[in-house]
Amino acid sequence: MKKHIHREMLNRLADELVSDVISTSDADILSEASEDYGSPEVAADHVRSILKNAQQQVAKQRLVAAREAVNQFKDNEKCAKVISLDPVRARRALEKTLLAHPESTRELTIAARKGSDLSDSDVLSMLEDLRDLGLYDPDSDCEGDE
Amino acid sequence: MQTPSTTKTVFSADEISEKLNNLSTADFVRIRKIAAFYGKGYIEPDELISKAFIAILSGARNCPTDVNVIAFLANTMRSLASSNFKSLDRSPEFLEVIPSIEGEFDGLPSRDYPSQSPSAEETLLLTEEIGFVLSLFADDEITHLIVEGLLEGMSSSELQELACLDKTSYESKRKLIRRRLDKAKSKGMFQ
Repeated sequence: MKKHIHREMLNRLADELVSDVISTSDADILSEASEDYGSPEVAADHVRSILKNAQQQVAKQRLVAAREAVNQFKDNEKCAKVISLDPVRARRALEKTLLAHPESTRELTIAARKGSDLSDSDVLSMLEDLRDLGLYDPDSDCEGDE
Repeated sequence: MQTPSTTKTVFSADEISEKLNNLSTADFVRIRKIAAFYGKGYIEPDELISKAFIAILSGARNCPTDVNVIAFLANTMRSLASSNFKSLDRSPEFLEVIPSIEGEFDGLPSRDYPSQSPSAEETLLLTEEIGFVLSLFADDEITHLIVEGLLEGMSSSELQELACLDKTSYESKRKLIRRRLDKAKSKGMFQ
């Protein structure tokens, strides 16, 4: 624990000296910078370039986050379209999809293939599965109906 | 009648970015000096400045509108340096390794166990650093006393009383301490 105590001691000293840096007048700080770094502008430009890099990095992070949000929104919208279909349209969409992909949907149960024996929620759930398999596109289905 | 809002307002991302862009040359110099005090060998001052800017710009740390931006940056740097120190402390390379006993069989391949004790070498370096800081003021009894008091956690008012100094004289001693440390750092005499 000695290491932490020593570290804390040095931090306490740093806190007081940082208070001094903050309260020192601009004129004195600029004069110190000439002495320490050659010129105040050289010292300031060094920090300005760190700021510029940080701003670029944060802008990139925001762009990535925005793209992810858009993709998430699109995915949610697709789900919402399947779920919000009325039962008649949903059954029509299921029938259309099964007919359009007889090879891929062969493994579905007979009840599923008949459609009429399924509850409304079963139909919606199957449409979601077919959408996940890439066999049903809620967007094109809506466009076709409208 | 409208009741006054108790929630603190903070700068938005765009506002704080603008505020940082418009800092004066003196303020940019201050940031560099502050980072040198808080970095202290565990994190490079430039990296510390960069991390602090990113934390503030990304909204990870929100600067209240009624707080001095440089003071807020200083606080952010202190906190980041402290987190960095703690994470280094927990990383395997900073832990002493005790080899397993040769020939001991527990049905598993031979392993090394990290010890819980802090690195003796690091403790020694910190002790030396404190000793070096104090030695810089061996020629001035009052200043030496102030440095010792600050390291021990005494407040500025307690130190003024102890050293029989008024506020102005204390502040002038504090500046002397800072400048001597600045110069020792720039000469690479310590981190």
